[in-house]
Amino acid sequence: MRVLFSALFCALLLASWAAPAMAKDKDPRAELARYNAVVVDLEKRDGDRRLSSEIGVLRGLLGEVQAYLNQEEEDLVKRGLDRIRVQTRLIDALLARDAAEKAARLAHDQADAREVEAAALRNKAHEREQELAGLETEAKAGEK
Amino acid sequence: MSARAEQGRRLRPRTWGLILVTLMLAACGPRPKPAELVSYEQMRQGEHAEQVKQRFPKLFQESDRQHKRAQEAHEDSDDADAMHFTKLATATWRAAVARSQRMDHEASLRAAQNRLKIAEEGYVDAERRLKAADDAVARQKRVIEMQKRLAEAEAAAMANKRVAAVKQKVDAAALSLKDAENMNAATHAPGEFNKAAAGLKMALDSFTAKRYPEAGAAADAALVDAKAAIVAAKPKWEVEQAKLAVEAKFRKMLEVVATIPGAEGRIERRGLVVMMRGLFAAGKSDVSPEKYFAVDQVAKLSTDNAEFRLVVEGHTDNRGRASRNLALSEKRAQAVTNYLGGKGVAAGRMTAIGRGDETPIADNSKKDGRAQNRRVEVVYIRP
Repeated sequence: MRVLFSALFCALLLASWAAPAMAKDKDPRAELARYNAVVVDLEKRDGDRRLSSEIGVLRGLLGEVQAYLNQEEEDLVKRGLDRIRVQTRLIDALLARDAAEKAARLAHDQADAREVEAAALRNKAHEREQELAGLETEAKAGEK
Repeated sequence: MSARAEQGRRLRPRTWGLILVTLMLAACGPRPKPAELVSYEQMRQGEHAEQVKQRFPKLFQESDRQHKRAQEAHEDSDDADAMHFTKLATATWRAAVARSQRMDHEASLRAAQNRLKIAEEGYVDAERRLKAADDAVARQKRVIEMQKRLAEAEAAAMANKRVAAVKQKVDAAALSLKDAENMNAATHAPGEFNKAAAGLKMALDSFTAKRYPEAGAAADAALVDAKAAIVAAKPKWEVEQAKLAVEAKFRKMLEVVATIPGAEGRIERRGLVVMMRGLFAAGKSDVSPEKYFAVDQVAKLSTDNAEFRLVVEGHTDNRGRASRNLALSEKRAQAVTNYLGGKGVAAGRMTAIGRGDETPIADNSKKDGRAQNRRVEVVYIRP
């Protein structure tokens, strides 16, 4: 269920990024504004702050592009937005990978724990079956 | 100036020329790649390259294009562009690798979920096995408990049976001892009786103390002794009983005699004596007719009690000679004997004896006394 939500979230996020990408040549300011919102979402997803340096790079790029916009340096704005796009894609991919890794680890831990429990229960059942065999022998002896 | 120094001065311009040529050649050669570009290219040679190419061909190509542009910029000595495209290529490549790793993790997740599912099934199966085993153990324990109870009940029943058998032996010994007691064995066979009594006491004491084997053995011995006492006492007891029976019969016969007019009964050592007075007139030996009824009653008494022998004794008063009286008494005895024989009393049972005047029962000096002495006594002899 958690994985499903993550996948859904990523799909929505990609959709939200696709929109600015499609509109990149139309309005750089709007695109920058959208990425400013996206970085907030990425920070939220990075709960354990493992990607703070990558997000820091992204924030730096956003600041640079904002400065270029203010200076009306169109070429630099375009290059900065290119960097922002790939950096955002990178962070998203890293976050998704970490989430998947975390989910897999958690699932393996659960499987390990359940396997241990199942083994313990099997042992218990085996002991009980041995006890039963002993009792059956005792009962047969009692019949004689 | 030495020739050697001169030679050095001549060679120096040539050396400088070589250095200059070398430097010019170096300036014309390829420029060193920036560290970021080298790092990217090393990254591309890494373990993920082939996998990324297969899984994410578009990203792979995009990264390639960016790398190409970075190399072109570098070759054009456009360091800013070279750095820009290197960073784009690096980020694109890293994103592709991250997505590939994500796929690996997702596969790992599915594997873990599969493991979890299998573990869950194993757990459920083990749970079912455990429950089945628990149920079977509980059932088996109940069976064993029932077996134990049954065995205990059987043991108790056996013990009760043994106790009952011992009790039966003790009772049998007590009963036999009671029989012996009833047969007056304490008197007739004191040795055996006392031994049996002591044995029974021991059996009862042992039984009370729950020493059942001892009780059983003592009871067996007491039974044997009691039976021996009975055997030993029996002949004497039977004689005694016979005497008692005769006594009892005599007492009943006395009751009958009391109803016969003119008859009196008494029990003596020799037997029951029925005395009939005034049966005869003076000097006569025929039974007076008015006395027939009484003699008939005696006859009936005799036939009713046919087990006794009869001695019919005739008596007289003392008037006349003794020899004549004796003969008269014999005749009187015979007359009554005959009369009784005529009434069904077997002749073989009866003996007629004359006693003369030797045993008067009343005063012969008086008429009434003499009448009483003229009598017949029928003696029912003890066996």
